[in-house]
Amino acid sequence: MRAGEIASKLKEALGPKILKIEAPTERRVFLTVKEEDLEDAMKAVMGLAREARFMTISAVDEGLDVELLYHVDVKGTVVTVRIKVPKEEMEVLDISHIAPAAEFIEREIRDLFGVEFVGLKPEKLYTPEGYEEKPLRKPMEGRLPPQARPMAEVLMESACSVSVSRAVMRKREDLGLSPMPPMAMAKPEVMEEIRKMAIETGFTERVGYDVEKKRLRYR
Amino acid sequence: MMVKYGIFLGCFIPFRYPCVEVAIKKVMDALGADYTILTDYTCCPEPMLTRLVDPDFWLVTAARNLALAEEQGVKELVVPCCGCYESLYEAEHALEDKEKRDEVNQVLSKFGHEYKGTIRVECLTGILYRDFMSKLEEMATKPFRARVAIHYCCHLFRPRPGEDIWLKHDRSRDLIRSMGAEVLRYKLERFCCGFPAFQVDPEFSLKERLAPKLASMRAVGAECVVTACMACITQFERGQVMLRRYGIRYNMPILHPIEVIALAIGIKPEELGLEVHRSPVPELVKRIYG
Repeated sequence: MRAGEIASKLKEALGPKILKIEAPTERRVFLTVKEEDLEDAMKAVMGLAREARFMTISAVDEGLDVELLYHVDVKGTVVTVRIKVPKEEMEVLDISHIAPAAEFIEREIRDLFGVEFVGLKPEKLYTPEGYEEKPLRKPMEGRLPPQARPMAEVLMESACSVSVSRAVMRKREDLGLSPMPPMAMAKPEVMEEIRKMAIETGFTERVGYDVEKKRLRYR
Repeated sequence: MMVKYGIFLGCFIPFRYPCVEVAIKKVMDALGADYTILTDYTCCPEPMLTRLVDPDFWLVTAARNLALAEEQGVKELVVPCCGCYESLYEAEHALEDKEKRDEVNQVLSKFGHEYKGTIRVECLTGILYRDFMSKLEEMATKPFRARVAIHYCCHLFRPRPGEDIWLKHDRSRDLIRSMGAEVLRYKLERFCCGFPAFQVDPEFSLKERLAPKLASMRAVGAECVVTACMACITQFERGQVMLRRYGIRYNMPILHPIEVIALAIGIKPEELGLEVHRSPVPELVKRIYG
């Protein structure tokens, strides 16, 4: 089955659950979904053909998230389902009820990276009982160096590169200026625009800024 | 209705050095300039961190600021801070490429903006030199009689195609000289003040960049430093305080060129809020103007 045909069928089956789908070659498809849509995506991929064969899962520690790539051979074309598991949670559904062979590699990933597969049997595969280290897990780090982190948070909070204090606002008034200059932060609706723009451009994701908690995901 | 000059205040001026904002308004009013202060703007965004970490976000944000200038009927965007100048000028230059501009406008359009590419970004001292030099010379009835070392901020070395790389700084120097100051040569003019390095290695920044610079200025008898970059002003003022922990003591006043101009054209020192400075600017001004 060719990549183009697979991509069309997956689009039809998954619709808006697809975050991204690419077919860079005739025999390769990459499908990105949210973690909560993994089960539907795997069912759709495994249901593409009777001969669909689960191959393996790759895990990549990206610093703030662990990326899991589920590879399935569909009649000579490799389909990869890509999800990201935030390190704050590190839980994802066990898919061995869809692809029994996944159990082996899920246990390996749990031992080495610390990702919990909900529903997976508790026995370890590689590391000894009582050994709790996760040898391939990296520290929780984003791309900003420590010195740049406070400034990035201030930038997201106020669209301004310096923090604003009441003292300086009083000083401005003393000098005959308005306490708040006519910047974006003076208007909540403009600040909302800036936040949405930061999300739209991918800035918040790239630097690891949690929009809801209004802070970076790492210290 | 079109306005000739739109002033982009940035972040440091309103929130760290409102005295510079006061001086800008007083000088522009005294000149009778047709200007407005840009509103709803964001950080330029600052050219060191944001552009390095995320060039796409940097360009979209800078383009939004340029689009605001167009929406607010501005012909030229006038930037009093060299850091903001670099960021906005680089964005203006990058967005001359129509393909790039279309790409950025795809994002901006979702928020009701479009940058058409009509804005020219200029530094404040460049505008004052180009459009008001003779008027300022006439108005400079209270000369700023001090021995001045100019710190030629790195961000301003951004010539337009075919322009001399020193042009902006030369104009800035001539402007300060025409206000009655004696501008000194001190050999380390092109040496960075160390502000960017401070983010990574404060000791190196202070001892290996700021201290040699101040030493060379003092060696030629400078009474004050004048620079148009708000980050450099911060580095000179905060840095002199921090150098004391290494036993290195300087007490050099630091001013923005617009403050020198404001004083020279007769604006009263007490109207300028000079006590905002963390260096002895009020003392220097008292010595000059009594």
